[in-house]
Amino acid sequence: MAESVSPACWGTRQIAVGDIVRDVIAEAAPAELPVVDGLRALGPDTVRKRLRRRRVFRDPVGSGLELVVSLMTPVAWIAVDELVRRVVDDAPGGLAGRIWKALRTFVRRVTRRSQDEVAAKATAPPLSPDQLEEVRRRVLELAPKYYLASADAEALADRVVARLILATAVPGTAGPTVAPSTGEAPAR
Amino acid sequence: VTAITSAPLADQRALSAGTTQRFVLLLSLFLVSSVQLASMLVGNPNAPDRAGGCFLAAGVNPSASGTALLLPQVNESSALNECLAQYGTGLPPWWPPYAITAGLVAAAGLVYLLLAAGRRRTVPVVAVGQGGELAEELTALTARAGLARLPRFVMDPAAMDADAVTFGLPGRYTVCLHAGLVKLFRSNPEEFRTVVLHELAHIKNRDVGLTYVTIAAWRVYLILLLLPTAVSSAWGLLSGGKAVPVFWAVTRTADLKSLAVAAFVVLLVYLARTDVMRARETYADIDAAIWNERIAAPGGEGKGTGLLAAFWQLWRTHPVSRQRADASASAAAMFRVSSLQMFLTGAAVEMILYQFQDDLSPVSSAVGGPQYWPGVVAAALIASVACVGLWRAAASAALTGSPAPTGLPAGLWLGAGLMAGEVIAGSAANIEWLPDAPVFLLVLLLFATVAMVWTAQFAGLCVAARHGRGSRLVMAAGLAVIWAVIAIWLIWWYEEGSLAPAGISLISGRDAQLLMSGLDGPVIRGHHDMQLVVDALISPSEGYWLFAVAGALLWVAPLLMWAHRIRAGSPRLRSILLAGLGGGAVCCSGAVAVMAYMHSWQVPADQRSASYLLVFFGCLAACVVVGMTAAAVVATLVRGLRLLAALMASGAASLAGLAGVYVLVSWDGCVAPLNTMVNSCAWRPVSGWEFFRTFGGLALGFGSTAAAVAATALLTLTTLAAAVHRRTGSVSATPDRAMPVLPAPNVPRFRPGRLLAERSAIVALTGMIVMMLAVTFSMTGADLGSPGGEGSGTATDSLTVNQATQLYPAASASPKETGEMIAAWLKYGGAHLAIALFNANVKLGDAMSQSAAKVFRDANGQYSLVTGAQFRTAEAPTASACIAITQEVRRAEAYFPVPSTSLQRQWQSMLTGLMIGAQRCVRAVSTASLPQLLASFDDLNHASEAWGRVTNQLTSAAGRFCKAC
Repeated sequence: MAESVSPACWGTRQIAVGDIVRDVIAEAAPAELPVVDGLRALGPDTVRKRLRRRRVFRDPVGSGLELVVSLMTPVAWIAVDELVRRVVDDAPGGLAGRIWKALRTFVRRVTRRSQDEVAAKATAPPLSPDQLEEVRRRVLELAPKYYLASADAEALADRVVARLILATAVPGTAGPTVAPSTGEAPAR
Repeated sequence: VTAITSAPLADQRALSAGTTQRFVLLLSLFLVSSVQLASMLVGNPNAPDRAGGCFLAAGVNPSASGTALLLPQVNESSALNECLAQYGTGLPPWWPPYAITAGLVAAAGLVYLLLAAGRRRTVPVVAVGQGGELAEELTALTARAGLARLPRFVMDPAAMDADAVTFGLPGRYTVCLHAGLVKLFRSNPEEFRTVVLHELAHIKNRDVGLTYVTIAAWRVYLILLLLPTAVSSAWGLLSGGKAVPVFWAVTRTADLKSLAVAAFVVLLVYLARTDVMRARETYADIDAAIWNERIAAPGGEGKGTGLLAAFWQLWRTHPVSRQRADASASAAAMFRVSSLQMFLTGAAVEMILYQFQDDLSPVSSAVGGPQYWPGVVAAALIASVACVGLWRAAASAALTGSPAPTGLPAGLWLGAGLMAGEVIAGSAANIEWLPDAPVFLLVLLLFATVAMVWTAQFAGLCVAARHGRGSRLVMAAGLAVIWAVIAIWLIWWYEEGSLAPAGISLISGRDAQLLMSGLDGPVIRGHHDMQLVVDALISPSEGYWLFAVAGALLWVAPLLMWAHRIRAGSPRLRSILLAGLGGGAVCCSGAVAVMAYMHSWQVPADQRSASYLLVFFGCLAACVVVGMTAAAVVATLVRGLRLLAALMASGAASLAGLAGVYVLVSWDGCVAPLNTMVNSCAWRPVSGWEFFRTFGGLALGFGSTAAAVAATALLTLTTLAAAVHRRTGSVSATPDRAMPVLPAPNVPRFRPGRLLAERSAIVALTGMIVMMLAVTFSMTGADLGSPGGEGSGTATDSLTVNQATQLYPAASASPKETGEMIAAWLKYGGAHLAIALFNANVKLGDAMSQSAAKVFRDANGQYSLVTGAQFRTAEAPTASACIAITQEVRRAEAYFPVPSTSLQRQWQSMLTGLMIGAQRCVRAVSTASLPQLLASFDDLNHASEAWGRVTNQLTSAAGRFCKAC
């Protein structure tokens, strides 16, 4: 399927944002599965950079038809991605910790390794109730920006939290080992 | 959104859309504005610090206006250039602005390539989930759009709106679907198809390249040129203003005006850009709606009504949803001519033309050629943009039976654009904010309105007469006619008419007096004013013939269309011809009255020379003009195609009137109370011919213009009155809605006899006017290219700008201004010259004392005067000193006159005295004449005393202002 998604990645990632979001979207909004696959193909850094833009500029060469469409994918992606980064960046405090973090960032830039690759090497610790609550809050916060109705936003938040619990409760079950309940399975 | 029939959208491509012409206009504006801004960026030769002093020294009065401001610059151009070369920053080479513009074009090309290559990371649609189905749907849509080549479809999953963009180089386009749109493929396939087909329509319409070129050009223009120029200009204005206030005063208006011109062009560029892009979006919407067989209900949801919304819309590159829905629902909406388009066209045409005469002068001088080309180019731009749009609107209305455009708003907006451009950039206002006589700018409004109303009516007539057949050919022919007519009008405007708003009256007593000096025959006592008016009127004789040709084109073209049989809703030819005959009768009656009047003060036979004859012929020509106008006014009252009817009636009236006048003049002398030039009865066709030869052009040109203007004015008033009436609820229909409609609801019964008679009349009328113009054109054609040719036999030179400026001396300056100007005059050369003259005189004194010992010879203890060659040898240094004085005087005479009339008189008198003395001195030495030499010294002494007086006065007049220098 998506040529830029290497099957080898699946086996190594333990908390891959794309995998978790795909599972969630496969259940919540199967019509958005091509979007999730497209994002996964772009790579996490690019997606993060693009989704971080607060204001969407209208493309001067676009159709300008101003159609409104609600999307769950970016909401789920941003919330999960932020959580993952918090977990990965949870370095020791103090000066030594900050220096270590800066060095790590530098090495990552030099070797052009993404944050997700670094994250994938680590085993995800179980998420605390606060972290899960933070993810849920973030989903509800982002929902209006992507025209999600509050009921849909609630449902999406529940699914994201459930999937995260599932992913972190039993290490190594994230991604391909968890078959999505609905929608199209990712190609290997 | 409601799916309804696609019938109203039929065949919107039958005629040229005109968007390509608008794009060309936009690119022209880009180039012109780039050269203009680049010129400002690389430096103004007349920068307000030092070069301003040269203008002040030349006598440019900062508070003068109009022609007075120009005068010193025109009269003292060589001295001014010399001063600028010495003290100013010097005239920069002409090529940097063009080099910068070329660089910008290259940069824009680069940006275009970058934009076209696509900017973001995308994913092929076949590579994502459900990609197969999506690709199938996209292939089907491509086939529906009729594209020969399947574009590449990709997806931008991080763009979360439901949109799509197309990019790529021609032939290798890529359509990028945004994430939101991909979702719509499942959740709302109808909307999905609408967006995709819209993008495919852009490919089909070849919009993609043009759109990216527009975007690239705008970004390069904005960042690389506009911003640096704005910063540089602001800095120049602030620093220049503070540095030398006295010179700043001279150039402040000019600098601010040039900034305003640049800002206006930038505004035009922006609005033209958004207009072009909006038009292309609308066409893509229409195509998508047709292919999708799904048309929005008119007046769809969303903002888009009200004045504010309309204003806001001007700045957007995409139409608002309501306009999109209207355009998709009704062909009429997309054929509607926008006021902005008309205004932009008018203003842009003016800016481009005056730029050609100003910053692009190297180009225009290189192109060379006849002086009428600006008018021809301007007319071509107007015809290809404004007239095409209006033609399409009128043709569409005629085909669909919808209300026909009157052309009035279009004409008024076009005229407003022309007027705005003329005020901002034209020669009318020069470096001031407003021209001296802005009312004359209304001539442009009248021209534009007549042209647009004629175009609208003629287009409707053509479509009705030809039943929509050969629409492109008919449109090309019609546009060629109106192009020629507008060109003739604008040639006159740029050559002569634009002088009027600048405060230079072409028809005034003073001009006429100037012209009178070239006329034969005595001035007739008691009828002086009449004679002056006639003399002044006949001066631009070649212009009248061109106007006559324009007038003839305007009524012959619709007349030929009348040869077609079906004209439901249009006025009958018989009614029009009757109105024309009525006008002819008015003309003949007037001619009889004129002859009776002339007879009442008939001068003796030997005095009936040019002046008497001119008044007689002038009055007869006035009768023709009145007859034509009367016919036009009467014909305007008929229903349907009122301007065309009026013009045809006036044409018929001109032929009838001229024929009547010809007969009356040829039979002059046969009816005693009407005897004018002769008192004996005989058939003298030469006399009638002489009238036609000398005054035919004036009568036809003036008459056709007066008729067109009168009819249009009447039409405007009645339309406005009807609109007001309708608003109050009394009337429901527009007065000029009786445009021929196809299919014609009431086709008149076919009568072969009537048709034959009508066609015969058309052929006869056309033949007469063509023959008349051809014969007279061949007689005067040789003079048309050269102003001042004797087109009317008795006319003198037409007034040129230089002649006009000589008629209008500079306005008087205040003492303070005079002081500033004298200070500058001294600083920028005057003082130096005065000192040089003084030094030359001192040197003469030295030479005199040296040579005095040599001219006396010691002979036996007595001193005696040497003579002959010895004298010349002894006085050689004196002669050299005198020659040096003459040289200094010549240098002083080449410099600006003192910017004060009384001081200039004294200065010039001193220079003359010095010159006379020095020349006598040189002659005296060469002839070895001591008395003459002594006399020359007397002259030089007097001149030296005058030098002392005048320099004292100059320095005291400059006084405190010298500090400011």
